[in-house]
Amino acid sequence: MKKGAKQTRREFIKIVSISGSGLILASYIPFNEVFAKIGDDTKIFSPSVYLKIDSKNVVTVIFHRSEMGQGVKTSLPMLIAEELEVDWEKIVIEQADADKKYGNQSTGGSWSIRSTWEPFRIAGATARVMLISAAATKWNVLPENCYAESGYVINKLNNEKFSYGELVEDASKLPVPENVKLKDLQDFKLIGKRIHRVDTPDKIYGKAKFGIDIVIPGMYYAALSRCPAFGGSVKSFDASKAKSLSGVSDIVQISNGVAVIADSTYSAFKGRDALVVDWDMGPNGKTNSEDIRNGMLMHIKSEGAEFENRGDINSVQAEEKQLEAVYELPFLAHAPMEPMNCVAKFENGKAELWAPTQDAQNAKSEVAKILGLNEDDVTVHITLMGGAFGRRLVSDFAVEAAEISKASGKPIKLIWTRSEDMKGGYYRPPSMHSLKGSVTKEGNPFKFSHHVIAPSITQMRFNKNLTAEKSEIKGGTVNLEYQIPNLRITGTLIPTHVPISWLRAVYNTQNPFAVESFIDEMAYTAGRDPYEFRKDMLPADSRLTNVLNVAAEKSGWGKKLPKGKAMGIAISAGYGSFCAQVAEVTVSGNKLKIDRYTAVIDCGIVVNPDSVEAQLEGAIGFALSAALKGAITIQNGGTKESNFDDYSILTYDEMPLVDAHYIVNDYKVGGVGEAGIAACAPALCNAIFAATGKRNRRLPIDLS
Amino acid sequence: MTLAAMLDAEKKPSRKEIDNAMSTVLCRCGSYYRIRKAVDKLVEDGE
Repeated sequence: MKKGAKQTRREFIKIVSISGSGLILASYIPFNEVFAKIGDDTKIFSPSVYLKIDSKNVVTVIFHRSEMGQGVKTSLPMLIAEELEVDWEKIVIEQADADKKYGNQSTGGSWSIRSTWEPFRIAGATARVMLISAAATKWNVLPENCYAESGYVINKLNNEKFSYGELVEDASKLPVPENVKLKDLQDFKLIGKRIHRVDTPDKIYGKAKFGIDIVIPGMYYAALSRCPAFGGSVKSFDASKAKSLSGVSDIVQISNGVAVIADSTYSAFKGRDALVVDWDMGPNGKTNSEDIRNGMLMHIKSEGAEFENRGDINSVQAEEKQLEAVYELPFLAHAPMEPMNCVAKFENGKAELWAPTQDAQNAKSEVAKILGLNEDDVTVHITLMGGAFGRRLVSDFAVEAAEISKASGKPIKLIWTRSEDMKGGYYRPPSMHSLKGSVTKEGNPFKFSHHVIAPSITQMRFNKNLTAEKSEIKGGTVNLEYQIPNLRITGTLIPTHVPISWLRAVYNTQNPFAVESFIDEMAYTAGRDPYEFRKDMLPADSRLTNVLNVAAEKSGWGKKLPKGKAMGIAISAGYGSFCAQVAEVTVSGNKLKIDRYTAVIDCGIVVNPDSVEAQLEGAIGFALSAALKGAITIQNGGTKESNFDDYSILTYDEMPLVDAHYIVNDYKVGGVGEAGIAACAPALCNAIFAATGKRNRRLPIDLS
Repeated sequence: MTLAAMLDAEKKPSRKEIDNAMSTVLCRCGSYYRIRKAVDKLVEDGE
């Protein structure tokens, strides 16, 4: 039995809408949305902002987050539908706009299911309880004599039933109960089932509307010219040639550059390319990747600020074998298949946007700020998006579109070309890692130290005074379950002028690579099997140990493999979940074939098994692209790479078989979207080492 | 589209032919493995 805490009361808003007579509110929060359709007799029961049931028996779940292909538009409504006892096929799912009444709409951090698991189930259960209560009253029986199923309340005593639609009016008049009982896990009918995603059919038939598909009446197309160096600005520009091109209607300067507005994307791009802009390249116009690398290298020998300390990192055991290594990773671009874009209409002092955004409320407030409007005068519609991986948490594209619309006085669609998207910044930061360790002559771990050197996204974007020990660069370095007696984890922040931001798994894309590769190096130094070495360092009853064991078993770890074939193993914990991966490779000469990944995740209660497997497979595809190919190079203050020819990603023929498993248990629901990233690259490099004796400490891998 | 074109030309392509054709199609969401399973099934069930 769950306690309906104060916070759930905040979420409950009852509305009774009677045709034509406006809105009667019995609520705890002021609420100004009108559900009633004028002149329509439909009554609506809405005990929560996430749920509406109308007298025509239509159940609508409001989806308040962002669907970027990860499947939450399906799994979040499943939580409500389960407790509400309604047929899944009959539910209508409505995308919400940006609105604080929905609470947090930011979609990221593998957080959607974890954050809605309880509130959404309570919302569904509360509505169910109120509908039962309404029915019981109508029948003059006790609620215990009724039950809910498939959108009906049934009277146990005489098998009569009411549809939810028939109960809407009465239910709306009831007080919202607290402490509703949620279903027991074994009674789930929907949660835990392989449910097809609700957005799939439209995506297959080409009907789905991504941000880039949006067209509004009177819309023009815009293309923006930005400084090639990050941190630069416009000195002056000559628009004469651009203006003369057919289709071009306006040229406007905004905060981030000079925009060309035209009657088609083709004309807008052509016009933008015809602009002659005199750029002030800014203070970093000469900065290259080498400079940034040197900026990290100079801290390699220093201590760093302390994150974690155990035992005595300076103690020495007789006959111990010491080792040290430096690991290095580059900037990475998110490169989602749909480039940044946004439709914006500024009219009569109000702004309306259609944005493929992962953080609609941020887009709303940033746009309000830049246009000098009250947030109430800004509407942000959330569209589907073709991948995001964290890139669309930054609202730059929305701000640009809004500014262009206001400056030109026209509704516009701003589309970034692939090149602009690749060069647009907000990358995964680079990092360098200095690792030192030792193993005893018996082959046990004795010392382990990790000094991570990297820019902090939080410091660079939000808080210049942030210190290393308080920064997020420690993610994936600390609180390791490995019971190593002497351990010291430290970090150093370096500044960078290159805009950085969160990329799927954030610092778990790099820290675990260094850690799990170095743990492997320690295992080999100790002359021990990498799986056994890890297992012996972990608590026997740990969930991490369990996934490690399952991965070893399912992959056939330890079996004799033909020459050139080998396996590598790695583990990770994060987002409330635990993951282990075994990579199986074939190396001949400098040709690498990744044959198979065995990936095991323990994410506690599983809502949609198909989604969990898909996220594991997808994470492996994403992480392998980064391990094998991805690197953003900075030259003259800006980005060198421009497309998928010089920033390659994994291809169809390179994708391994993925044998994905999830552990069945009833631990608290854990996050999945990012959980499969961390272990992928180290498992691969550990496998390559096992096959070739060559250790890759720098990504992307160099096989030569 | 690539697949449709390939199957028009060759009803039972080899693994290598499939890989060659499909490796020109990029997928950023990492669903290649599922696409492969679907392609294999389509080729296997081919008219």
